Amino acid sequence: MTRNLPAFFFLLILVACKTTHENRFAALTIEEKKKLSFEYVQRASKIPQGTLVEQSLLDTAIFLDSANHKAWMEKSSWFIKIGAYHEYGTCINKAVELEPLSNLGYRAWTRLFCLRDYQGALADLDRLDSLTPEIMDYPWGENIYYLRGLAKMQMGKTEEALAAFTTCIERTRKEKGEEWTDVYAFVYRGEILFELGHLKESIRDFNKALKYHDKCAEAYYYKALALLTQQDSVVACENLKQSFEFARRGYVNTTIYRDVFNQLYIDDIEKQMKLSCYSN
Amino acid sequence: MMNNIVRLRQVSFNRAVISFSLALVAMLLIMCRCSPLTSRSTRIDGLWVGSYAHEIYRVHYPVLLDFKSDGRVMKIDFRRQDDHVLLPYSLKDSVLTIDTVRYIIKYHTENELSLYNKYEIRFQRPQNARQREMKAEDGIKRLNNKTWLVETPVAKDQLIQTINHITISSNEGILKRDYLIREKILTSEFEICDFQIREFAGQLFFLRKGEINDSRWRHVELEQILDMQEDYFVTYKAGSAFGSPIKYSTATFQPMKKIDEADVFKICYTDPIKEYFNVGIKYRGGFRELTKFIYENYTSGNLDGESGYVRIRFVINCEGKPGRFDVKGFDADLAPRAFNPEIVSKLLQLTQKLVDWESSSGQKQTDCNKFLTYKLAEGQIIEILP
Repeated sequence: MTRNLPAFFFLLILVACKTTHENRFAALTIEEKKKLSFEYVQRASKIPQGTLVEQSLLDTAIFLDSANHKAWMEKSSWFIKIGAYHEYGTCINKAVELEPLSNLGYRAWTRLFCLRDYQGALADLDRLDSLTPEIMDYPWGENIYYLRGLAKMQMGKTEEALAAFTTCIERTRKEKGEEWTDVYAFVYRGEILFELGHLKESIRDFNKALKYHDKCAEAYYYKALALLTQQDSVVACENLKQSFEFARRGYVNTTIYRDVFNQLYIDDIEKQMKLSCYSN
Repeated sequence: MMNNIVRLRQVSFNRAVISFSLALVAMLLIMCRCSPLTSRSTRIDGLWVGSYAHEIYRVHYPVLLDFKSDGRVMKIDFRRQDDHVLLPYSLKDSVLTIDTVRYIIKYHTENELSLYNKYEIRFQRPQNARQREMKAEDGIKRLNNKTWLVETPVAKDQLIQTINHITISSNEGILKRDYLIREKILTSEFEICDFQIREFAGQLFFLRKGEINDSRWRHVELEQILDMQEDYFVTYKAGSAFGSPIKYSTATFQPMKKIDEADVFKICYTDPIKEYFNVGIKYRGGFRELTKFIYENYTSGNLDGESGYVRIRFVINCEGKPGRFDVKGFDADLAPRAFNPEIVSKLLQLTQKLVDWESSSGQKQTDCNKFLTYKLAEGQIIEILP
């Protein structure tokens, strides 16, 4: 006993000096870790995005369960907003790898609007669609055909964009009712039809948009342009006036993060009014 | 007789073993810097260096807490004019109450402390410094009338290298930030600062305060001085979870002269600097005007393989001016990549010329972080994001 005394004391000190750095999650079972990880993501969702607390909660959620795709997706969402592309890519790709059905839509959406990677967005939308062939998907709350239409429109594939917007409108009408159609599907299709010289059809689309959103500055504006081409300047100017009024009151389709495709500016309306309505 | 000698030897052996063991215990206790009896209830007494800090979000504002043995704590919040407050504190059930403010202790180890109230504040114990005997006044003397080069490691994915020089004269200072490409200075910007060396609980700190605008808050950087010699000093960015020592070495003296107001960049209001979507910043005339300006002024021939994203992140101050640029490149798969230096320098120079940022609300303006991304295909801009 006496001979072993130094060794005994040495061991005692080693045990006693154990710091509080030990992993306090080590004792949890895998199921408990998964549950806690889920709770951490829920807690993070109640805290302003990008704050140190929110990000550290998500980091802990991933530490507890690296297969928690929601935590990866949430992290990617902040990174894309601040332009941290590499970090965004790592997180969203991980989320898609873990749970394609839940995350392909968000990746497609961000590729389309935030990265303007139209080809990548279309590939993700196609893959998502193939996973749910029976259902009309709504990635990040937007109709899948509407997003396809926007991507094709930006790529300059006018006919394909027209077809996608038409599918969006027709399928929504059949499956849910026309009133559930995204108003801007009518507006964008109308813009393309106007560019192609199909004035009557384009006006019909702008009227449809106005039927469901009577303060839509874009619909009034483009309808006015179509009417001006038809030499109906009196009604056109009334529409321009309406467009200007609603745009001034903030009824313009835009976001705080970026301009939308074919962003309408109040200057455009004013310029057109000066040109067509006050020239005399 | 023989038995007695053996017994005596055994007793003295036992004593030696016990003494040796006790000495070993004492030594290990000192080495471990912990008490076996209080390893679970870690001490809070003494100085803690803290920060609301995150490198990615460029958030940093320092706070010091010096817990006294008489139940009071000295709180030093550098953003305020009157930065010292001695307040009573109590510690109970993982809740630290300073005066009337309650902080939840998220974790507390020997060297780390995390408090949560509205935000999380992470504290560390001060680093081991060599310069313990030096006084703040001596430090200031060493700093004055010199130009110091801030030695910063070059990040691999950085397309533009940044070199900072600080010239200090009578505590007033100028930070000159040179943006370099291929080791050639492309452009420079200046920040006027007030430099101080302060002593807290026997530790020296290097303090840099930005200009005050019309706010009682102002931009503050705090670094603990680890070593200070005539021709160099080493600091540690206090409270930063990602901190590493920063070395300042003497450089060719650049006398302070009047700087053109157009080249001065200042942060006006409180940290943390918000993101562009929190303040609704917009370019005068809209994003379309911005893209028009870039497209009109950017020229480049077709350059094979120069495709991907060049992202320039910067701070827009309350005057609507951009500064503190950070330039990175990514390929189509968003992996970091280098770009032709001519393209990068052109894009940075054009971004610097965008000086007409304004708050969309038209209300009191603020500083904010913003970024612009140039999507390139064979050297040509095909999109400007976000």
